[in-house]
Amino acid sequence: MEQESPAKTHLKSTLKTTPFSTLCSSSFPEEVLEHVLSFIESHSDLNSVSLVCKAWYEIERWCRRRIFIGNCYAVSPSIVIRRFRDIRSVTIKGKPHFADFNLVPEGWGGHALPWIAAFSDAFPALEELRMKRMVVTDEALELIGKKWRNFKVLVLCSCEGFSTDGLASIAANCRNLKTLDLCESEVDDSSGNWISHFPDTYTSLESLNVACLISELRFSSLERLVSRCPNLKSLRLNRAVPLDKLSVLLEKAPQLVDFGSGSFLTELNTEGHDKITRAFAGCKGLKGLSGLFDVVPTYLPALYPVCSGLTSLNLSYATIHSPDLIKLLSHCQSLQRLWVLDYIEDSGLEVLAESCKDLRELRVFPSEPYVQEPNVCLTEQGLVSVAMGCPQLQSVLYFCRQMSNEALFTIAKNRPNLTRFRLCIIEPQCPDYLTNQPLDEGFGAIVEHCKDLRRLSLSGLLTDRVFELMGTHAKKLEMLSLAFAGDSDVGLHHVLSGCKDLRKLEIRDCPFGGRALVANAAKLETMRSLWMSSCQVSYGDCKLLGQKMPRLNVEVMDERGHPESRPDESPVEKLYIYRSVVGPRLDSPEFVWTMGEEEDSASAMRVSALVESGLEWLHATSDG
Amino acid sequence: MPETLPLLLWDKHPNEDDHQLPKRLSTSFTINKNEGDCIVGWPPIKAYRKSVHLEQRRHGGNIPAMENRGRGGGCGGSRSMFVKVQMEGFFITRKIDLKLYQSYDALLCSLLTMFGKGQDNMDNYKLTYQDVDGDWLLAGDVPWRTFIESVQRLKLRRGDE
Repeated sequence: MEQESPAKTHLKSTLKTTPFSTLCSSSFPEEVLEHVLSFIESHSDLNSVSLVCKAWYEIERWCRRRIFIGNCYAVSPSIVIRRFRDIRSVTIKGKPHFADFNLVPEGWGGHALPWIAAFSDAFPALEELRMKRMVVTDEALELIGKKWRNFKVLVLCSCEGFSTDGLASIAANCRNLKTLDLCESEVDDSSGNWISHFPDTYTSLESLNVACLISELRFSSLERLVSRCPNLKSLRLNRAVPLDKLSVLLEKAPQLVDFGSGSFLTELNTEGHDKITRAFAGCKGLKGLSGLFDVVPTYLPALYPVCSGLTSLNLSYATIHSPDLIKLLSHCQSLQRLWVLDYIEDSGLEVLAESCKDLRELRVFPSEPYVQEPNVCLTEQGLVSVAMGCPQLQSVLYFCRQMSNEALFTIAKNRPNLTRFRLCIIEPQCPDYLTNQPLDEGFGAIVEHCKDLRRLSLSGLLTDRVFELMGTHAKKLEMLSLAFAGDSDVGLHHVLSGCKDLRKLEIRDCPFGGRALVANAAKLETMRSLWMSSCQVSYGDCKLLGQKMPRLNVEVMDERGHPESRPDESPVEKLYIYRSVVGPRLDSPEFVWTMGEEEDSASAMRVSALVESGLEWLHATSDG
Repeated sequence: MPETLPLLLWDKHPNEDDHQLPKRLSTSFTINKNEGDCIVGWPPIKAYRKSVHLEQRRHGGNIPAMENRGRGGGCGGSRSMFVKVQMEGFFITRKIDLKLYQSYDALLCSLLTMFGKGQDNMDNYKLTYQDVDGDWLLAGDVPWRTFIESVQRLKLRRGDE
């Protein structure tokens, strides 16, 4: 826990003892309130502050420095600019999460340029920009370099649309840049020369992540950059940086806290091997290690000296056998986060559970996701071992090929502190392999015991029963991903009516129709977004929602052409619903139709007929 | 939070009858897949992760010596795994990871399923591709390996037109 300053403690007690009306009254000087607000970091707390009274709203809008926009189509740049005066840090998210899995068509939207263009005029002192799943053009990157003189942090996570030319302009123009993080972006990567555009006088770099690039960075420029930036703490290279050059870089930056290596493919002679061992050993403060592309077991002992200090280890691109992984992990007692391929197997996870007592996050990815038969011995047992052995475990992403209710019970009972639980059983609708029953009760136990569960992904054979249990227990759930689950609208209704804190819901290939959506339309306004693809929501239900809920954007995506060319009762391919204060977006591609844009008497009649049929359906199901 | 009246009233206690709803596997709702191989976006693995892993195979990286079941092993070839594919009469262009396929038939089958034409006879469609020189050619005339080394984008056309 961070030590509080005396001033902060004093303010806190003042806030506690002073009647609320006094705080709000004009006798409370603006400067003081402004100072108080500067201690509030949470966006939701600041939002609450701005709702207290007009005076607080005014002060808060003048002194807010950081904004978070969870959906770039929920608000417009001009509304943000009208409200806030001096924003320094912006986080914006674009496409729906399922875009990660290729479910959102090319050209869907999420353009960064309108935001950057508008903000570059309105907020000249902006320092930080973080974007996720957005289309960022080179033009946008050039604008950043030209307009923001004191720009410091650029994080582009799963973004696309830009090239190394854009990166070159960032390097050349952002003289105070501290962070450049291209985390899993898709970059049009023509050459590695962009790195040479950082001027010789530039020394402020603290964090550089270029692991997603393909081309080999021009090494002499990279080497000079690393040696002249004394505050460089995090460096994640791409696979193209060969092994024999790692030692050169590490020797120049022994202060690194986080390092992502390039490829380990090169054969080294004894001297080279010693060099790399010495270089790693020199990085005494190393806490995070990733990359390790193509690493062969021979080189792993070079890492042993730094292992005891590591808290984060990403081996999910390192294709090494369980026995070698076990040797490595037994040196990593401080580990808090581990990402690994399923080559670790149950035996490796058992060792992990015994030796890494501080583990908080575990992700196990499949090495052969498209092969039917298991290629490794990784079952539910590995996850059970870790859940039982690691008392701090909070976050799990686990791909496997078999699961049982019994295992889920054990996990739930032993780890009630889980906040994120994502389980992917690779074969859709796979039942409990011991009893051949649905996994309803097992997942039910997870939501019942893990009271703070915020994020959940379900898989395996599941009926509406699991959603009944979720509606009853999962009161803090914020994000839910569903695939190939449930029997009927009743399942979706349980989730929408029961999970009070639900903000993001994404569903694919489930037999849910529009009735549950229509019945819970008001709930949709409290959520950030709902994605449904290959479900059974009819075009008529989409239209109804769009017309009756003006604060929701109901977007239908269909590659068979305009949905109007098919009957109202035919299901739509993809549906994306989100609340918005700006109405339908103006940059929809030709395959996206926003419902409720045009009102005419014919559609109004269709709506009333639908409501009637909906009521009939309800009567039918409730009368039995 | 302003309350909005529901557009439909939902009975709070869905009755016992619900348990007798037809089990979904027996309903008309089935998973749109082809021998378990062609479900787009499943298992949920980021395209980025897939491409890194396949790049690894391309480099002949140190893949633990498991039996090569199914499509294990590296394919030779082009740097980009993903190519755009367009189908005649469809608005949306898709991207597909060619490294997941080892034959024209598997590719065509998967493409048809992707565009919702999995039931159609494959012979009714012609797969064409644009090669490195920008020429449009009929797929299938060169060995698979040569094909994936030069393909830039794909277009699926109806054969009878």
